[in-house]
Amino acid sequence: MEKLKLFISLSWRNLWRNYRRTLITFSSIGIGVWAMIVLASLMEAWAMSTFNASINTLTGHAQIHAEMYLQDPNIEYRIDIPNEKQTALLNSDAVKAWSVRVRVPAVVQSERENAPLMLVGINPQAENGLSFIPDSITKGTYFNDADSPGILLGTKLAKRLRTELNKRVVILSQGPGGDIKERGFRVTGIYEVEQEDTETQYAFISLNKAQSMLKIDGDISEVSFVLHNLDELDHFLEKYKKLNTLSNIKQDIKSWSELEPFTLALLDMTSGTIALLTVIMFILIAFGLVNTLLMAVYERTREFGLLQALGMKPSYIMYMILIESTFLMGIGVIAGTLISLSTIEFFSSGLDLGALAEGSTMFGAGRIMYPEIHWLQSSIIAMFVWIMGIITSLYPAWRASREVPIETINKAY
Amino acid sequence: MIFGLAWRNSWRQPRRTILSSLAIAFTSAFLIFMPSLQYGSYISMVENTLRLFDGYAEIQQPGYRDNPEIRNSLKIPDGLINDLKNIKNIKTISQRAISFALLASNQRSFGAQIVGVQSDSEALVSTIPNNIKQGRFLLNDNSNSNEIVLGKVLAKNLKVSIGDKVTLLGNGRNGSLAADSLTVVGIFSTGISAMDRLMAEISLQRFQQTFSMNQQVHSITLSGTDISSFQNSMKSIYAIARKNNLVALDWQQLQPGLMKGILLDISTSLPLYIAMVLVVTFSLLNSILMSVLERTREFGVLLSLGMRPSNIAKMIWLETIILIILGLLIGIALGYALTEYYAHVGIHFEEAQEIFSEYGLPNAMYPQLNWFTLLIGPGIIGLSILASTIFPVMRIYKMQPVPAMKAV
Repeated sequence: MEKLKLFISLSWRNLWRNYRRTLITFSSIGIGVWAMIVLASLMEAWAMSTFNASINTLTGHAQIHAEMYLQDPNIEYRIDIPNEKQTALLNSDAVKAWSVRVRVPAVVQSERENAPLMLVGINPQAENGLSFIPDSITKGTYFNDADSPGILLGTKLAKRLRTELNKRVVILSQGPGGDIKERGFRVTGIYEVEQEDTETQYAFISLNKAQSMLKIDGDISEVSFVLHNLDELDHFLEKYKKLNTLSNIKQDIKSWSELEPFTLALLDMTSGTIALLTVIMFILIAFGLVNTLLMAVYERTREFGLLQALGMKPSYIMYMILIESTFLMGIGVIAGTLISLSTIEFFSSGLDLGALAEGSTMFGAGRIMYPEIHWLQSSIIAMFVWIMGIITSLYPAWRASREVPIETINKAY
Repeated sequence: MIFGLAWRNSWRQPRRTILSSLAIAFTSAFLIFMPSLQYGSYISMVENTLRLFDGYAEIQQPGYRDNPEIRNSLKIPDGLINDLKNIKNIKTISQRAISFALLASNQRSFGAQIVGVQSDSEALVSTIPNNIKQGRFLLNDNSNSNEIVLGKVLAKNLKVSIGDKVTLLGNGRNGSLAADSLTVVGIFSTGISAMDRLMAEISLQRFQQTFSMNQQVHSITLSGTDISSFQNSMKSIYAIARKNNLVALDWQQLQPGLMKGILLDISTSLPLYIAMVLVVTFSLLNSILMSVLERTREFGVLLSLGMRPSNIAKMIWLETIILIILGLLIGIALGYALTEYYAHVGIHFEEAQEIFSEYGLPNAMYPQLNWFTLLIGPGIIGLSILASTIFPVMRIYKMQPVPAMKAV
């Protein structure tokens, strides 16, 4: 213990014997760590933005359909509204929001044009907190209840159809028997989202109007829900599946990762890229670190010889150098981490991609990134660089301990 | 003599010189490889996206882009096709007509985007004819046949296969009813979900007849051998379009998100590159500064023997340049070899296939090396290290012979 104290004070003083070198090494380590943490956080923000956009676009954390519906989203494949037990589970504390929908392919016709789309019958109140719809109405009004008349169209679709608020459009869709059902709707609302694809893909009517138009009584196409805590999803789905098995109900229950493999792949790729960049950045820092430590060792060869001649064990010299490098890396890493955290904090209210936003929405993410401080990730990056740095300095430390006392004392400069 | 001194000084501490130049080499190899990879993926993303359907450029009726409705069609002016044929980089000219309509099979009906194409030239502007998974594409006779090819998902949704009949219902150009009965001859799969779900192609003549188009079309799609040489001809294409009161759209207008996506990717990777250059510059600055400071006594002797500070400075500059050149040579060789290797083998992303096909990329990336990507990264590294050498050099001018000789 005494010895450790001695090593620490020796190493600490050694660091500041050449403060210029120490400061430059700090900056190099600091910049590296700073860049890694900030970039990692931006990439996470990007991935989260894609994830949220995908969850908000009707996917939710999971969906329940009739078997076959996902392969063939047709009116034939319907399910009953959740029964008592299922409803109880969906109303439990774990669930933030859930809703039932009718979702069928349809064609919309205006006076001038027609376009194919997905017609979605929604329960307006239940969509709050579940999907983008309630918060995206830019013109007109949202539905009041599941009986509301009217249709909500996307801005881009409305433009393409050359229709506008309060005009009428006709919806054509196939009923359960294969016959075409047709009904006119007044455009009561126009919604706008960042992903233009969504705007042309979905039109919304109220649930009851959808059911009565398609003559499917109380049947629905899907149940969608989001949980408060995504980590509980697997557990929750397990419970739901068990419930279905017990009541002998066959339904297709899929989590977001199965519904949106594209988003999952993007998230995986992001974490892979972060890991790769951290390693590359570390290799760069390592070059500088080894160089600095080696120099520090060489210029002190005589000193080490003297220390050994005075009776210091070679292993102690090694410890001393290792502690020096622990300090050197540590201060650089901590400084880099602190600066990066404040950089992220600075941008956390939203980093507007501005002119580049169109590119961002093309990749399925939003226009504004919200970088967050990821404590775990930041500390992993920081600890990785720190520990790897100490391991790297084993070589210079070992070199220093190998000097032969007499030769080095006599070594001239 | 100064060069000789600098050269020998460089090898007094071989380990330091080697480590420093390896740091430069590693960074420059990385900064050659990454931009080449990005450039390669941009090119293949642009090419794949455009070749899928859009072509390299399109000529349309003014206003069609904002309102792609059936009425915004154009009558091909006399001489236009010939004028276009005379432009050097245009290899293919294909006419299309497009409308939305309802397709119905016995059991199902779905909305679809119906494209009327010239079957012989379509294969040269779009990869759809080459992506037929079942059956065949429309025959090459541009006839008035009742054949239709469908996207994979559309065919599945309609529950039709090769040989089945589908009924088309839509609105003609003059507002009349457009109805037709067609036979499915082919099913294509592009990997782009929107296309496989929505698109169907019939012959242009059939389209014009069914939709009462009166010989008109919606777009003249142009294609060439590669996008960069084709871009050089855009000026003449614009001029021809203007002369005929039409508009020409280049690839950036056809796919506005694509260029922005590329810019976004560049601007997110730039901070990383800058940070890497900074890290390597700092570590080199450190190494050079140390090599100057540890020789304080030596420089004191040189100064007192009458060597001018400017000559010592020159020596330091030369040492740095030797270090940089050494590092850059290794780095460029390494980066070149690495990039060329992967340019041939390709970097495969089996797991990310989903993402790649959605962005119109094959599931392998091929970096592309050119003079710019080969030299820009190493150049910036070299310059920034050179610039930072000013600090150690300034130390030399501050040295006084006698105190310097006494320095420890």
